[in-house]
Amino acid sequence: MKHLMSIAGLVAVMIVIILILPTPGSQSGAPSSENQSGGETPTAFIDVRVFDGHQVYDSASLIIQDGRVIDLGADIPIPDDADVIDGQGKTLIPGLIDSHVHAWGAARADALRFGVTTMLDMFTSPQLLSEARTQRESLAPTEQADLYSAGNLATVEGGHGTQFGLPVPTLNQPDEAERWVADRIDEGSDYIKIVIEDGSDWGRTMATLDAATVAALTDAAHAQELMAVAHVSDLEGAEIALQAGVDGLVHLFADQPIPADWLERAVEAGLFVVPTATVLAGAYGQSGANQLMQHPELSSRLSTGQKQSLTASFPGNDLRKARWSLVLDNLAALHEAGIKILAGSDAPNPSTAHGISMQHELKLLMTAGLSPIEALASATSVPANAFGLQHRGCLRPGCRADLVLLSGNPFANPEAFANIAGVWKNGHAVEITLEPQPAAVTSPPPENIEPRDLLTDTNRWMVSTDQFMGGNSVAEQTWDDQGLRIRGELRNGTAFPYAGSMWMTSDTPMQAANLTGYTEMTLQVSGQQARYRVMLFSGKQANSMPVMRDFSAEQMAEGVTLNLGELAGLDMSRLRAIGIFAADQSGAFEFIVEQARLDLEASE
Amino acid sequence: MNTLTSPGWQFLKCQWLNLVRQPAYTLPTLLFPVIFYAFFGLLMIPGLSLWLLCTYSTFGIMGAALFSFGVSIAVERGQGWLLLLRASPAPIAGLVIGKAAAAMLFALVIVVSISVLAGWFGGVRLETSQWAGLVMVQMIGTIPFCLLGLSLGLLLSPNAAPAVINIIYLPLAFLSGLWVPATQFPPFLQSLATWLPPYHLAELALNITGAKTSDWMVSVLILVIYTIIFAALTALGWKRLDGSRS
Amino acid sequence: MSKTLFECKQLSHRYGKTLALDTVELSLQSGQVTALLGPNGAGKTTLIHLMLGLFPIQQGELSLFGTRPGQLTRQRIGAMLQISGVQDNLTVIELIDLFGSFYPQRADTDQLIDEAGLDGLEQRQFQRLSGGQQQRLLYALAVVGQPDLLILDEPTTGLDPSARRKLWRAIEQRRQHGGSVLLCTHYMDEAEQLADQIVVLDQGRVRIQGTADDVRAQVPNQQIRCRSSQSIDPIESMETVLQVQQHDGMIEILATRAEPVVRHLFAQDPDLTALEVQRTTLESAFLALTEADSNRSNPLDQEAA
Repeated sequence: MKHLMSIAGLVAVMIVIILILPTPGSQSGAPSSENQSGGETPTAFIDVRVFDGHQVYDSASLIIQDGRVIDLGADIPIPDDADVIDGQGKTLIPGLIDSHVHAWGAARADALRFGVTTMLDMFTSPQLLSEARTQRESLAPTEQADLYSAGNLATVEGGHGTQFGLPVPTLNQPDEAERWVADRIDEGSDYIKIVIEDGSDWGRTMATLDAATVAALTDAAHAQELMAVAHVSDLEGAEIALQAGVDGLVHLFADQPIPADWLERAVEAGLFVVPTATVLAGAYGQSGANQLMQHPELSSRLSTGQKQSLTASFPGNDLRKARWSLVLDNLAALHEAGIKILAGSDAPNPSTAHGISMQHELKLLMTAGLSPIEALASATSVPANAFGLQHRGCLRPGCRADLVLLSGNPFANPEAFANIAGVWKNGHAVEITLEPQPAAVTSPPPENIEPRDLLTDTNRWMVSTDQFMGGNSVAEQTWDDQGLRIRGELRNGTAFPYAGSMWMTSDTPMQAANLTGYTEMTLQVSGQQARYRVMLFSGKQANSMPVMRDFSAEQMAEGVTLNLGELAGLDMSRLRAIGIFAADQSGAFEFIVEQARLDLEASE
Repeated sequence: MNTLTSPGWQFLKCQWLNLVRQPAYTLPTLLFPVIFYAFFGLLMIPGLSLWLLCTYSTFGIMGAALFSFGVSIAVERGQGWLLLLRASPAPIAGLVIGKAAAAMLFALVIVVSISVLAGWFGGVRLETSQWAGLVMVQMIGTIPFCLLGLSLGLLLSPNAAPAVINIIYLPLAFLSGLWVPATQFPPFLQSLATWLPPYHLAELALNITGAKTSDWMVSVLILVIYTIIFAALTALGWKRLDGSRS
Repeated sequence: MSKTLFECKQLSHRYGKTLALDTVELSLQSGQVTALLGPNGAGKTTLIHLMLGLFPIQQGELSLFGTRPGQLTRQRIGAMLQISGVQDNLTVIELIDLFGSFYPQRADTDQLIDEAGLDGLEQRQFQRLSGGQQQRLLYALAVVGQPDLLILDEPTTGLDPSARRKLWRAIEQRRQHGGSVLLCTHYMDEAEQLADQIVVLDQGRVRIQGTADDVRAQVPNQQIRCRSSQSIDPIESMETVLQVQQHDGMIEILATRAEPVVRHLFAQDPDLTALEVQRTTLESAFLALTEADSNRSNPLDQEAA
C-alpha cells in the first residue's frame, strides 16, 4: 500500500539521519567536508604531561573541541584540521576549583585569569545566581569562571554574616529551618551554608545558631537533597556541625589541637574540610601577598581590585602570629587522618584575592604535608567529587575543556604551579585583558607643583553616599571656621554602608586629572565616629574599584599621612576623587574635616 | 494485508493524508519550531545550542500534539465527524491511536529537523544513542500533550477550543523555559516552571543529551501524574459527549 | 415471518428539564421500512441516538436484536445522521475503505458505488462532491457494513428533486431485498412512498403508529363547510369531530370521517346551503395533528395512547 510505504519511508529517512548525526568522535573518521560546516576546530595538545584529575600521564596528547575534552592518550590520532599546541616540557592540569569564595563584581573574571575555572561561593547576593546557573551550564566561550553558590547564609539574628549591611534572612529556632531552606531553594542556592560562630576565637562575643537549629537546617537541606556545609572557627562549633551531620566544614578551626576521637568520627562521617588556609594565614599574620605580587607571571595577571584585596590586612592579625603553627598542625592532622581536603581561598577577604590566592593555598597545603598531586587533587577532582560537579576537575573525554597549561613539571617542582602559560575555558583560550598600566596620560601634569590645601576648593567638595551603590545612607555638608562639617545617617542597604564627602580633582565631577608628582596626602578629621574610610578613585574607568584605607578616630584626630606611592592600585595620572567617609555601624554621625592636603615629597 | 484493513491502520492512513493534504496547517506546525530554533538557538543565543535543542524540540512536539489532537478533535466535533464515528462501530481506540501515531510521526520529523540544525550548524556532538534517545523521549513525551489536547478538544466548545489551545500553548512553552532557559527566570517563575509538564519533558531531554544532570525519575513521575490527570479529563470530556445535545 | 428488530417500552429521555421522549412505546419488524414522522424537536433524533447507544438509557426499556444498544448492535446497524461530516479531504474510496474496516462483513466496493450512484467519483475528495453526491456517499457509508437495520435521519433534506428520487430508489431496492429501514423524515410524501409503517412522533410522544391509510383514517382530514344556523354544541360532541367553528353563519368542521357529520347536519337543518366536503392531504392533516394546540383536549390523544 502506497501510504504505508511513504510513512515507512519517512520513518526510515529519519532513522538514517539520526544515525549520521554528528557524534563526539565523528571528526576523526568522518569526511572533513562535514566537519567544516559544523563544530569548532579541535585543539590538540601534543607531547604534554597531563594530570587528568587522578593520575599523571608523562607524555600524552589531549584533544578538545566544542568545549569538551574529546580524547586523551599517549597514542591517539590527531585530527588533520586540529590546531596543534606543542606541550613539550609543559603540564596540562584541569581548571582549578576554588571551594570557598565570595563572588561579586569582577570575581569570576579575576579568578579565571589564574586558571580557576569553577568557584564555589559561600555567601553572596542571590540575585547573581540565576545568571550564574545558565552560564555554567553553557559551553560557550566566556571570560568568566563558572559559579556555584550557597546564596544567603544561615545565621542567627545579629550573628556572623549580618554585619555587612546586606539584608540577610536570619533564623533563630529549629522550626524555622524547613522554611528557611525552602526559601534558599527558591532563590537558587546550590547548597546550604550554616554559620556556627560565637566569635570566641576572635576575641568577641557574637550571637550564633544553637546546635538544634544547625541540626534542623542540615536535615531540611538533606531532605531537599541539598548539601549542607558549615562555617566554624573552633572545636565547639566543629563538634556541633559534625553531630548535625553536615557534609563539610568550610574553614579549618585552630583554637586547639584536634582531638583524635573527633578526627575518627569525622572520617567515619565522610566529612570534608575546606581549610581556607590562605585566609587564615592572613588572619594569623602570615599574608603571602607580597610574595605573590612579586611573581612575574602572576603579577601580570592581577587587576587593581585584586591587588587591593591582596594587600588589605585583617586588623590585629599580628597578635595571632604565634598561633599559626597550630593551623598547620591541625591541617596536617586532618590530612593524616584521611579527611578529604578541598582547596579554598575565602577570597576576596583581606590578604586574599580571587584566583591568585589558590596559588597560596596550594603552597600551604603542601607545607602541611600534602604531596603536589594531592594538593592539586584538592583543587580539582576532590571538590568535583564532594560537590557532585560533573565533568569538572577532570581531563578525561567528556570533561569540560577547562584547563591550565603550566610551564614545567609541578609534580617535580611545585613552584611550577605558578608558571601559568595559558588558561582555556570551555575550550577557548582566555585572553588576559587588564586595564592598561598607567602609561598614557589624560592631561599633562601640573607644571608647578605646589602643596595643595584641598579645603580651599570649597566648590570641589561634594556629598557622596552609598546611594551611588544602591544604598540608603544620607549626608549633608556645611562649611564653618573649623573646616568641612558633614552630618548624616548610615543606613543598611548595601554591603558596606558609607556616607561622607569627596574632593573632585577637576571641575567636572569624577573626571580624571593628572596629579603625578604628589606623593603624600595628609588628613585630619575630628568627630565621634569610631572608624573612617578614605577612598581614592582613580584609573581608566570612572567605576573602577577605589583604593580604600580605614582609620580609627584616634588616628584621624591626630592626622594621618598616606604615602601615595605605596598605595597599590592607585593611578595618580588618572586621579578622579578623594573621599572621606564615615564607615561604621548604622546610625547618625557627624564629623569635621579639619585638614586635607596633597604634598610633595620634599615638603615636611 | 490484514493489518491494512484494520481500523487502526485506516485511521493512521487518514491522519497521514490529512497532514499531506493540508500543507497550510502541516508546514507551519513543522517549520515554526525549527525556524525558531535556527533563529534563537543558533543565531541569537550562541553557546546554548545543545540546551535549546532540547527545549525547542519539546516546544515543537508540544505544538504537534496539542494541535493534531486538540484542534482537530474540536473541528471534527463541530463537523459531526466524531458523531458519525461514534454512531458507527468504529473502535474509538483506533481513532486515538491513529492520531497519536500521526502526532509522533510529526514529533519525529520536528526533532530530527532541529537535531540536523544543531548537529551540522550548532556544533552539537552527541553519541548516536543520545540522539536516538532524545528523539525517543520527545516522541513518547507527546503522550501527555496529546491527552491534554484531547481533553481540551472534548471539554471546550468546538469554536472555543482552537483559540484556547493557542492561548495555552505559547505561555505554557515560555513559562516552562522552552524559549529562554528557566534558570534565567526570577525565582518565583522558576519554581512555577518546575510544576509544568513541558519543563519536565525538557528536563528529560536535557538529561539524556547530558546538557544538564537532573533527577530524571522525578520528571518521569511528574509526567506520569500529568498523563493520568489528562487521561481522566479526557474520560470526563468523553462522558460529557454522552449527556449533551450535539 | 417477520421478527421484532427493535422494541422500546415506556422509554423516556430528558435533557435537563426538557422532556425529549415521553413514555414511548414502539416496535419495528424486520424486512419493513418504518417512517418516523414528526416536526423538528419531536424527539426523532433522540430516539435514534438512543438506538445507536450514543446516550445511556435513562428510563424505560430499549432492545435491539434482542439486546441492549452497544458495540455489537452498532455492527449490525448503518446510520446516516442528520448532522454529520467527514474528514473532507478524503476521497470517496478512502472513506468507504475506512468505514468498511469497522464492520465484520463489508459490502463489495463496486456494488456499493453502483448502488449509491457514485460511479466515476471514486477518487474525488469529499469536499469536491456536490450536495447530492455527499448525501449519497454518506448513504454508502451507512450501508457499507451490510447492516440488518439501516437508520436514515432526514436523508433527503436539502436535496433537489432528482437527487431525492435517486436516494428513494436506493431505499426501495434495499426493501425489495428484505432490508429493514428506519426512515426519519418530515416529508409526508416520502413516508407514503417508501414506508410500510408510519410512526408519528410529536413532543416526545407517539401520536399514531400504523400504515399510511391508518394514519389518514386517524387524522382529521375531512373538512366540512356549510351555511346553517343550527347549534354546534351537539356537533362538537360527536366522536369523529375534532374541531368546530361558527362565524358569519358559516360552520366549519374538521373531522376524521365526513358521513356521520353530514347526516347529522341534514337531520338538524334540512335547509342548509353551501355544503362543501373536502379531503385534505396527508401532509396538512399531519400538520394539523402535530401543530394542534396542546392545551386543548385532543381526542386523538386517547386513540394513540
